[in-house]
Amino acid sequence: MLRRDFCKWPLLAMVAANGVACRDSQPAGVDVGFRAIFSGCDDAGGTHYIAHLDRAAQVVSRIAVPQRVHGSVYAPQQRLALFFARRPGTHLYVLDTTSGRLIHTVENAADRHFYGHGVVSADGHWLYTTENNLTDLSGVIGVYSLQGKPNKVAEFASGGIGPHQLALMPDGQTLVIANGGMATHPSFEREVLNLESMAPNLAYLDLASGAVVEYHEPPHHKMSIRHLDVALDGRVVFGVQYQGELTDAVPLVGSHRRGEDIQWLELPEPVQLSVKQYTASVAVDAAGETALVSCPRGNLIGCWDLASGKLLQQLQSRDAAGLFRVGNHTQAGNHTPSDNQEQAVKSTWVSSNGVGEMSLLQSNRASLRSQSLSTGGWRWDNHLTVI
Amino acid sequence: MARRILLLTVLWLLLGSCERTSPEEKWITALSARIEAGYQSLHRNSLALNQRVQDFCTQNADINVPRQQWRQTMAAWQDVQWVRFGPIVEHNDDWKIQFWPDKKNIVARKVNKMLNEPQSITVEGVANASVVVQGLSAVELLLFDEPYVAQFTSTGAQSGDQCQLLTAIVTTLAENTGGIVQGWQDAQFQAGWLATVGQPQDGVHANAVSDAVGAMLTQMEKVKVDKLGGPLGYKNRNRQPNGYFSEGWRSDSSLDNIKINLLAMQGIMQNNEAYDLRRLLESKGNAVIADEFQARLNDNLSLLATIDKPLREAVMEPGYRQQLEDLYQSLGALNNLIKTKLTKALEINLGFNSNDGD
Repeated sequence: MLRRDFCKWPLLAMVAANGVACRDSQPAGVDVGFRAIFSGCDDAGGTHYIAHLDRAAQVVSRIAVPQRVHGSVYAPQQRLALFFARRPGTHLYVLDTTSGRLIHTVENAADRHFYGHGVVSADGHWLYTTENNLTDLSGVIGVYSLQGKPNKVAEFASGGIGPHQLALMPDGQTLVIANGGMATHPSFEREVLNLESMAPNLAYLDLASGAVVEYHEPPHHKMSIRHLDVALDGRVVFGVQYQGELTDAVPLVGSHRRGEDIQWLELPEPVQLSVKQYTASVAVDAAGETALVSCPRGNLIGCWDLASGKLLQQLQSRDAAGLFRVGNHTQAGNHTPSDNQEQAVKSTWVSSNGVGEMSLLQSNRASLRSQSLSTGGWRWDNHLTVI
Repeated sequence: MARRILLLTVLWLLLGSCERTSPEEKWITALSARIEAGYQSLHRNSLALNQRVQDFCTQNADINVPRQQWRQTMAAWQDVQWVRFGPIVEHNDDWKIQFWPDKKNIVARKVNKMLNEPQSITVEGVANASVVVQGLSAVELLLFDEPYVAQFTSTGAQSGDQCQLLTAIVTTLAENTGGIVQGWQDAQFQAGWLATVGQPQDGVHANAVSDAVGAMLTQMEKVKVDKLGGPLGYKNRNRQPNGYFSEGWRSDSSLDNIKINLLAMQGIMQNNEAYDLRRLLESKGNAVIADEFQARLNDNLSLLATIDKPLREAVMEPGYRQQLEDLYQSLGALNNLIKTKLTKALEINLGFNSNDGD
């Protein structure tokens, strides 16, 4: 609806248009350090899409799909972007990034559904996805061949119920899996069926044997471990969605190295209360020094120092959603060389949110800064992939 | 002459166009005034509570005097508790007014910790402490919980550490509620919030109508799931009822709170003295939604009126089970109406990633 009243309050329109303050706009010609972004999104009418964006974060192609997607992954050898349906969706969409065409829609078996995440093997031949076995509600890792149309060739037990995000460890031989612990069945929509008997864990699965070789449980059974990311040195950082009371003081972000105990990161009371026990995407920098976690219910992105476990900073981002590390650089000054070492960019991420923004986040020694890349009418869904 | 007529016509058209305020803008303007009045009432009552506590502690007044004022302050809070947007959420001020649910009795633990460290019992100490000890829940503990009340009377003097802490808490509460009034009145916030009415109600852009209706739904879900479902045992592994999970079990104010929450919804929908949600719905040809909303509200208020015992006791008595379950179902019907028909009638989309749950 076109408003006619702004003549009364010209300043109001400016305030409204600005939205979140303290943002830089993208300088022309800046090297953003990536060439494409992939994400699911909805339009204002609720139609679901898979989208391919260019290095200016502008939509190159956008294809309507029947099921809402959650996360995605890029298969570099085949130049495919793979999008996974949100639970209890059964579709896997395969986008050929060269032609911009949706070349395959893989329908899962009748007694399986996806949980919205997948990862490609180090050699690029295999795809691993988190799935629900509807016969007993156990967690499954689907193994698909990426030769031609993705084809399931095997399954592993995930080591828990409700596996959500998974990642390949730097050794290329091990998966780390966030088993959220929540049993759901499509017959009961998205209702959690085992709230009081949940058993979430962080599991490591050996790809050669298909066996879980290490796992760790959080201190409270309602701490559903959902999302994670891995630094180049093997440090895993993960986010929790706590299913208990909003007022319970429980950690929501943890860090782990194989063979060690989980380290829980600081969560000051005001942040705990504002994020409402809910975290979305996790993205750690390549060096394993800094982790970002999006918290859509608190409209913020938290930035943690992993060595001290301290929360360094919070960035406002309404309905904050996707986060993804840009590049695998571990040295300072990769993206914007500067004589001033204090200002040199240490790490870079891309973030998205449900109110149409894509942003470039850059950290230096002093702080994390946000540059708007693009805005539009798309509700960017939970996670994005950047290449 | 012709030029003058033309000029006047142009001016009239310009002014006329500027005066055409949309129904959404009229509603949000009136709603903002209503919220401001609610916050002022909360602040006035907090100041009065501060005074009654001072009287109690310095003049050994009857404990029922500050208790009564606590009830009025809690009632004022329950009337605006649904407003979970705007300045009140920016610094967790809502949690500073009331910390609940508290299944683990954190309020008592934190209050006891302060009582065990008398040097921390200052206004500054409370203001810098956890939000848990800053609000009405901590005051309820001290004024209504038997061991604490006994401590007041056993010492004879009401000037001990408990009174010092009580005074510091209500002073902080008065300051916090004053800050909430100022935050809501802030011209920049008001201008910005009102201006969002002009943005699309698509869940992508900030929009005051979406804020308000989203907050109404969140509040009524809280009433159903936490305030009633909690003590009914629906949130427990064993599904056993537990009266201590009710919101105001120490003061037996739980049912009063739910009633005020429902009446607050009624006041939003129908307010004969200002542009209300009913008129907004009527402007869109959806008066029937307003009628249905009020019918559901009346169902809930009628069911609530049949429960003639404090919720803490009623959930434990099988004789009240059916009434309480009926109320739970009836609250669900009201919430479903907000979630589906009301949002559709107002063309609102509520949240995307924040409501996702994955």
